[in-house]
Amino acid sequence: MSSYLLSLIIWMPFLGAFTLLFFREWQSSGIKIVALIFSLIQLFLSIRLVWRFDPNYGDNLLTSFQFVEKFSWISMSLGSLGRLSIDYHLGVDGMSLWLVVLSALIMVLGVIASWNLKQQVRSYFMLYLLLSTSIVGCFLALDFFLFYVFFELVLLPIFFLIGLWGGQRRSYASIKFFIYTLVGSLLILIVMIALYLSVGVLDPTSEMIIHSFNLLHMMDSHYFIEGSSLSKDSVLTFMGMPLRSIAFLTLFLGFAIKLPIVPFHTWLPDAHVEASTPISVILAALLLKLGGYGLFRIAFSIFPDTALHFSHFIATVGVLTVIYGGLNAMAQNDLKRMIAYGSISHMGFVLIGLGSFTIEGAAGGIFQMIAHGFISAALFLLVGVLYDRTQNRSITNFSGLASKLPSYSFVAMIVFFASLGLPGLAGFVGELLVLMGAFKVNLVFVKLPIWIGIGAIIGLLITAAYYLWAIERMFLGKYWVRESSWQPKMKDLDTREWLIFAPLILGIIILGIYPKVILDTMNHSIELLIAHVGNLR
Amino acid sequence: MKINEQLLEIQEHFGVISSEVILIIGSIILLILGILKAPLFWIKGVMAAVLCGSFVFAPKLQGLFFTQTIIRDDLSFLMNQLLPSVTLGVLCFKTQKHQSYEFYFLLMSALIGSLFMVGSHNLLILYLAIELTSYSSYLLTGFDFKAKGSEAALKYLLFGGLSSAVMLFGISLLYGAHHSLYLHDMEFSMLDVMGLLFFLSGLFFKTAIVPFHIWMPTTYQGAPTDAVAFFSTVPKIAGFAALYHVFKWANDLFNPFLEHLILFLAIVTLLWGNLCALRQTDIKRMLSYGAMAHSGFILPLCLFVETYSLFKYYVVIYAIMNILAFLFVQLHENEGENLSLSQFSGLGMKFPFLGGISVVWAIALVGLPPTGGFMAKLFLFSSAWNYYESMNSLYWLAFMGLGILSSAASLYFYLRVPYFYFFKKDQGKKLGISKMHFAILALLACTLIFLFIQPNILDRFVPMMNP
Repeated sequence: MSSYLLSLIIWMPFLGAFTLLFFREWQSSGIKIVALIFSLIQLFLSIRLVWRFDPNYGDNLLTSFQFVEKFSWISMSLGSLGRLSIDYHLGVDGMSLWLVVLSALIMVLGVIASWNLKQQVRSYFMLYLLLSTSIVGCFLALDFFLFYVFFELVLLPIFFLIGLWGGQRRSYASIKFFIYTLVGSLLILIVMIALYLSVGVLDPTSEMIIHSFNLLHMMDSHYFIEGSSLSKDSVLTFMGMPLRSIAFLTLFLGFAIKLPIVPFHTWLPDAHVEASTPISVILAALLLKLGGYGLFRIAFSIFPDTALHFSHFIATVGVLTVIYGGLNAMAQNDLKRMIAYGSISHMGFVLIGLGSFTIEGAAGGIFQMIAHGFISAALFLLVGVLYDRTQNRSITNFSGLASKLPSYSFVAMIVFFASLGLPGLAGFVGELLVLMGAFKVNLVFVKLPIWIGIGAIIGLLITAAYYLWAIERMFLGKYWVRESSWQPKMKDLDTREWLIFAPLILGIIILGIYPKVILDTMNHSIELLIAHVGNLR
Repeated sequence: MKINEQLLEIQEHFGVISSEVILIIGSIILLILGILKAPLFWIKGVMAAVLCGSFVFAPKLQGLFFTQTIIRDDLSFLMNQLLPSVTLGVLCFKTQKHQSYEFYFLLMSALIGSLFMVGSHNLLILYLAIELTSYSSYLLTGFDFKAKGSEAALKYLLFGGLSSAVMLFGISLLYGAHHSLYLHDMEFSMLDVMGLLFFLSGLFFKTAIVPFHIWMPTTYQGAPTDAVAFFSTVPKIAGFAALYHVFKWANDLFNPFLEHLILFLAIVTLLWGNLCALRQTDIKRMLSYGAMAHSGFILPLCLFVETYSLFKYYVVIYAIMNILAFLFVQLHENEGENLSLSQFSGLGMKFPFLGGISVVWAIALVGLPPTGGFMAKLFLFSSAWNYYESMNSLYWLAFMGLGILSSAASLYFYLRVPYFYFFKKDQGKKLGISKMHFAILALLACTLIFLFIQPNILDRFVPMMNP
């Protein structure tokens, strides 16, 4: 039983979606309760996972995975290409552990946030639960094929969830989202094909080469076939660059579109703004993390040497993203758009942390992803509260909310300050660690140029500026709203809303005061990752 | 060999063409039933039985027969099973006015032609088989006797006539160069490149490869939908199988010119198909351009013997996807109207099941998981990468890169069907779809998903005789 814990976590929501098939459209409260129960079970199982997790497991990156499940799934002959073998292969380490917990928690909160949904309840929750399965599946897969399938499966439910239950320009936003992220995943597909054909072991009985999609094999240079296009001794070039570099950059771009990085970020504001509140929460808190996690787990672990080579480039892209996202956020009048651009800006820090190739930087990157999961979820829910009451979310339409809606403003203050990086709240820790990484000499005694750290600090200042400005305009001053018809609707948080905010606020404060909870379980894995980069260099 | 020895050999080897013989007898029975004014239900039933018979008795043999004019190998066995099953799928389409015994007779004769196309080892037999298929197809195109259909049939006839004349000319050039019409005597070298190109143009016409594709959109738009489902699968797949045989036997002398030409045509075809489909509003035209792009994907798989298992997989998946898509479209048609995308508006709220089916075939045709379409594309691009790696040839890399990127473009138009289905306002269109058709749709969709989960099931159904 216990050895199937990861499978249970992944497939529990799927089982829920299956159960919903037996419900009728009008039994909406039953449907919601079923969705809630299955999400709660998933959360419970993932907490159990944390409980049983051994933080010091394994002595190198390849053996550091726990709760491993491995079954042969597809094994077929491809003629002269050899045999192809795909495994159902799951495992968890310090990096993915907290992302799993985060997604289970956000999924539960998302169900509560969608409690007032009226139309097409059954289809909504079926898609919602399928989405949950595929997101958690991505975090736990150790087989590239399995990962890729989950990664693509995320797109379909999100496409419908935005397109059917979204705002005014929902169909435009959903199609744009789908095509952008599909291009990203197709780039990943190209590299996946090249990789699995380069990795293989000779089967002694049939004398055929077995190509596997095993990510652990791809991380280990011994498994690369000698002379194959992506092995370390490969001489193949494309437009003057070694093929390994091209493959890394393609993979980087594929994941970075999802993260997103600056020139490819335009799908994000549209998708976030047009999606309904729970869906934009999931988009910001979980979907962006798929890109970041993919960079850590796949791009950097498989091509450590190339990644190191491009570290300045990666960090530069990160700084650009931080500053450009921040400046865009400052220019927005729509609160949701501001937060969406703020998300882009925060994701830039993940890239800087990765690019620094230090333990602090990488740990900061992961911590930033988890903290941002809590903060952005709370931010989008805050917008949702306002939008539920007034159908409007323009910053300039509200003023002095602190006097009329005290608890709402209290929550908003905490979350805004966490997002701008106030010490003692979750946002601070990740950014601090990333900056420490950026200013430190890394394991190959190379330091990022000083202006990268400085750029990141400027980015922080910009973040502080637009959040403080928004606070000043919306919450301080004399109470005023644009339309008089909104006056009776301006009520403070109700019990359901408190229920959603409480765990998030609690998380934000705990992570800020005592980040050791997460850092301790994560540290070993990060050390192994950085050591892995050092070994393969 | 003396004449009487040859006759004896033919007599002995009759079992070699058992599928074809069953189909020929069956089509004669169809004609008799038609003259006796049997109801359509009976005609369809008899035809289904005949198709099943030819499936069951498909000869599992290896080698050359009938004085070396007929070839039997893994591929012909696969085709002898696949093509009748696909035709059986076409038989399951909704009943429409144009369906009569003549229609089904022509369908049978086109199928017989296609099977001979696959099995021929002699250029003349190949030519005759293509003509048999083509003539039946011209007639099938105009079968609803509307202006649109007649235009389509005439275009098809003119282009078809031209291309088969060119092909015949090419065959005569090849005969002149090699003094033989047998495939194993061919050695395509630069010397008879003209003959080769002319000859291939006939097969490219059948498979809708770019310079020979002009007939296709109009024909697909004007012809009855079940006939279109047939055209886009049976003769096309047979054409690819014939190409595979030609290259298998004639490509001993490795010929980079031929390889590059084929790859170039494949790239142009898939780009052209996917880009043209973006602007279509007529659903059948859109699907026809999409099918054309798939021709571009299949074509390079015919080049090398090693890629047989990938070719097999792609072709089977392609057949299932296409039948499902066209069946879906036909079920939405009223008698004699051409469906535009806007007529799907808002049906998803009333028929979520049909909406789900449309999502399945759309993402399968794009090549997304969890459908067999994804596996087909994965295998295809794997072999493309392998050739790029082993020969360092940029053509293969370009094929892979452009193929993958144009898949992203194809998402845009394929997704428009589910898009209209779910995201647009209801226009009050009524649908009368029988329970049986719901079951068939569900079956095909499940097959597509199952072929993703267990792709090696195909090897078990159609085992390789010489692995």
